[in-house]
Amino acid sequence: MKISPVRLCYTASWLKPLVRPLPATALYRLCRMAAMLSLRLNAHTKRFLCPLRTILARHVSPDRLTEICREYLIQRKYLNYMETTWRHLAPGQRPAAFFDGAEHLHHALSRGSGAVLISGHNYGFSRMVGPILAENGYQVCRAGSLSKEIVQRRWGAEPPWEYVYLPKERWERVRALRQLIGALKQNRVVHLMIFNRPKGEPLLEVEFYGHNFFLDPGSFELIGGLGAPALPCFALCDEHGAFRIKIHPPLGNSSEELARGFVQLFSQYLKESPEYVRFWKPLLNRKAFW
Amino acid sequence: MNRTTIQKQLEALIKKVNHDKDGKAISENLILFGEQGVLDSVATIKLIMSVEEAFDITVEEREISPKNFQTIAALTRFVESKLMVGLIATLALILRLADLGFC
Repeated sequence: MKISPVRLCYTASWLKPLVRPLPATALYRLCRMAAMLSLRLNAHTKRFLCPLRTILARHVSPDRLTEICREYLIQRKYLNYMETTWRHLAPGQRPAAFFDGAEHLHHALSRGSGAVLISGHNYGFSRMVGPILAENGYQVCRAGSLSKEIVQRRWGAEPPWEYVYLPKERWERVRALRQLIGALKQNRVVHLMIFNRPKGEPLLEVEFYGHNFFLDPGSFELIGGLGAPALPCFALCDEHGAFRIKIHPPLGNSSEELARGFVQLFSQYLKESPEYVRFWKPLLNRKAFW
Repeated sequence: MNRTTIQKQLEALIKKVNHDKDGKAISENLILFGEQGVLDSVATIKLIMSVEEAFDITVEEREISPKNFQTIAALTRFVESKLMVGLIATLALILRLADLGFC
């Protein structure tokens, strides 16, 4: 069984008081150090990066490829650390979060019928959008496919944001959708992530360095049906470990307009910042969805 | 409100949320939601909300099930029972108020 030292430090009752006062920037520096050492010395890391290298090697220079590999390892580790430590970090020690485009969200919420934030699945720090928004005073409802047990294990028994599990079973899914609509009526922010698939319609095709993939059509139909403004949202981080939440203006009303707008934006982010991608292996192996 | 009136209203609501897709004739045994249903999950939610508004009833979460929403016949029975429950509750309230001397 793999034991994470960071998880151990933040959950063991005798270690926790020692590490809690550490600021998140210290964790970020730890990630950088671990990633650089791992890149140079760890054979497993080299094998782990094979899918990334396979996809990008022909499209970027060797120096840029090394930079992307390093940044990918850092971001991945940092996300794992943040998910583990977020609820344990002392007040004031959480990483800073800067919003770019918050006015779009405020404008959407001013209408009183909530807003839907949509992010790419397994890209950037999408998983941190809910906790960060809740920390900054927004009423958040996150919808996803994780079971209640996994959510509680990661975020505690009572996270400061609501999680609505979207099951595959039809009738349970309808009940879950009703909860989401109820959250929007209370003028809350609903956060959804769009799954990726190896096959799909041309409208949903995302360009990615010769390994194009498709977005899940059902998600856009669902978002279109919710009736609230849908704003693309991408969570990245800077060189100090502070989160940068970028919120874009609302997309159109119909599912086609939503899909077209989001595909265009997501493709742009993937091209400019591929280091935030966390689906290299499933993409290369063309899994059913990721 | 009799069963036929309720059914006609429900058929109109179903046509509205489904935007007259498929062109299937609406019969009381038409499957609304499920394996061969004419509605997807979003349209089903819209139907539930329209039914609540049109009949002034509240659909509880546990009531969203095939038993009540699979076919128009099932939905009609469900709405009828909700209206009956509402009527009985109103009558009970009036009798109670009468006992207390308010009317």
